[in-house]
Amino acid sequence: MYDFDFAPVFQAWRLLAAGAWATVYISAISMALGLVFGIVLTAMRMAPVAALRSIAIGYIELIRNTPFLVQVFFIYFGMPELGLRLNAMEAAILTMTLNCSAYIAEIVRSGVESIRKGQIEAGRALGMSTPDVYRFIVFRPAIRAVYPSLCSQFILMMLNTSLVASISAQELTYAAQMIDNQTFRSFEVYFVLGAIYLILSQLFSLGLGLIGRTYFSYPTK
Amino acid sequence: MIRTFGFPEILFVLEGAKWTILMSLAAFVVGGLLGLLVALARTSGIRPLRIFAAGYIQIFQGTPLLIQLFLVYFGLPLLGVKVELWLAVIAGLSLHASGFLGEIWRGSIQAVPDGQSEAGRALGLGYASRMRDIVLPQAFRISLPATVGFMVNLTKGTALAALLGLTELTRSGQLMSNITFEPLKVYATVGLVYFAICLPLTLCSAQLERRLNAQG
Amino acid sequence: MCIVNFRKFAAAFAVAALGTTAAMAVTPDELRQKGSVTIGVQMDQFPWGFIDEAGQNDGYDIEVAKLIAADLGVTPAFFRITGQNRIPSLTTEQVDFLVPSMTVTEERAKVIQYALPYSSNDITVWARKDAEITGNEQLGDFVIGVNRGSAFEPILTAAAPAGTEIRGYDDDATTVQALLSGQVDAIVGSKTYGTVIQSTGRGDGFEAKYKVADNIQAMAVRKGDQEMLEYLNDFVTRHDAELDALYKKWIGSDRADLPVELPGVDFTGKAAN
Repeated sequence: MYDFDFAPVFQAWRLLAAGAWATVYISAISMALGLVFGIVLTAMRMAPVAALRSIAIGYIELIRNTPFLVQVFFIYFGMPELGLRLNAMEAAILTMTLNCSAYIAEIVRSGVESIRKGQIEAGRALGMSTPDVYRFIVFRPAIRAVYPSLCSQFILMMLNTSLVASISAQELTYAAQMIDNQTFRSFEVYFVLGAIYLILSQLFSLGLGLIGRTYFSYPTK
Repeated sequence: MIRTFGFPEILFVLEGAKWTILMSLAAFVVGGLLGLLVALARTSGIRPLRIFAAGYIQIFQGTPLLIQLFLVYFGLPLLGVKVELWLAVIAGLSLHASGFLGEIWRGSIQAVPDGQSEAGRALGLGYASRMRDIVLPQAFRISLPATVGFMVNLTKGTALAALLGLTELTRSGQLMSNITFEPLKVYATVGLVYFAICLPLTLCSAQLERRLNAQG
Repeated sequence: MCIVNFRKFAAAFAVAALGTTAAMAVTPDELRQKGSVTIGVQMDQFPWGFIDEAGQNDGYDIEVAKLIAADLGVTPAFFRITGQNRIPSLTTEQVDFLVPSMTVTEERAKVIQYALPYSSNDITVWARKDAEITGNEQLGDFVIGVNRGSAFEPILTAAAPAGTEIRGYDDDATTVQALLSGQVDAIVGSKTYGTVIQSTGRGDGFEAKYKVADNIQAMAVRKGDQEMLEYLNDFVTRHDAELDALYKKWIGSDRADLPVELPGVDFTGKAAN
């Protein structure tokens, strides 16, 4: 029979706390960069130039049809052969940004497609400049329409950070595996680790909901 | 000795792909059956069942797949269940799939208008018959694009079995990278194999979605 | 609050586990009867264990494992372990025993039962030629890579000055890869890293700096598998000459004299736990 012992795991709480902070940090940066790059991709995907559209589609499908883990290995271990050497944190953030932008582009596109042409024409008729039309009539309402899907995507990406431990990015899973290697309490370590991720995903969901209400809520007056 | 990434090495990687496909299929079938139960529980009239299913879905959607796999792998033996690594991995992937498919199918069951189920009840049909003959066939059609889309995620998810030591596609790549020291070529190849497996599913999902939108 | 809940959970879990029977110990006789043995081997550390051109397992540990299987008169099945699941694969009965070129440490000896050492290794610092590292003090000036989960990691942590930037990778080959691709300035690990670096054709840029520590390796069985342990201890003693030859063939140097006693480690399985 197995004796459960969570004490060694909790004793190492400092390691776990530092790891959790690193996870939040790389997730937040990648979310912001991923959103920006994702919107650029959406614009390319819907551009009147066929070449731009093809590049965007090819990129999006390549990313969406290969595992994140393979993408991380490719960027961290493969790219130095081509002269691009990134440290583990940079490689983690770059891969997460590239990965998440492809999904965001698809989500935002479906939002943009839900905007009626008439609205854009109405904006033009009111004398709005093209950037303003895009900002206020296309992207902001589009993001508002798909905000819940975006949030789920962000949380999936936060959970994906558990894989960057394999390239030595020192986040939550890396910290937990360090504890596992010292205590051999594998089940307890992964149980606590799962609980922390569950809490993190609830916190992210709360935080993203708050941001959504502040910036992307429907105008009430 | 250390060698170059050539034909025998590519063959070894392809052999790993066999496991990737087998694991994806097994996890999809087992996870699908479990997921159906989760979806039915989530939409049932019994409150404790609904709450349980909601918690179940929350746990699988709120924790990383890697951690789920490790917990099943380390947890099963503690429960006295001795299983081979690949069985533990399929069990973990199936549980993961059941959470996600449960949520996808909950959405599509709820998308079937209430009137349909009420009409069935007025005709004197029981729960099982209402679900089997009226609601589920329609829900199935609605859920098809998302379900096929999830199959892509599940296939990509099998890559994590590499971190538990199962010699599937990604682990085969790791092992070949370790003996050739040519990670760029190796991971590009591994990525292309995943792409070849997943792209048809993605295209199929998009096609189904268009058809559904056209009919709806 | 949290701890109380975990205790409750643990208690509930333990009740669930009570119904199951304790695992039967594996014995050599049982293996002979079954006609096969499952051996945990590490396949990501050339030349100890790797995949050959035909996609088969090969290397020093594989040949040692095959020798054991032949001695038992059974067919070997190899279970490819990783640094992370090496010990759990043994304790959860995925394998009958391990032949993993695994370092003997006091901490691990609390969880698994080591047989008498069959191999050794020099823990060595490998680095770019221009990196000025002559001793532990200089490690702090560089980014150091290591196989996390291996015994090299705690040795490095103890040897390097506080605050040294240490990067942990999943296995030996990935650690060497990190050095070759410039992700780290130096790595700490096996003396055979040199063979690997040489045969990638990039040997000119790197060299061994100094030896950090000795490293004694042993096979391992589950705690309580006394017959299996005694068989392996006997095997290691009886096959001295063959093991010497295999070591020379794969590792390229003579097998050192190995200790039969180490502080804090019991090779007899008889000390009170």
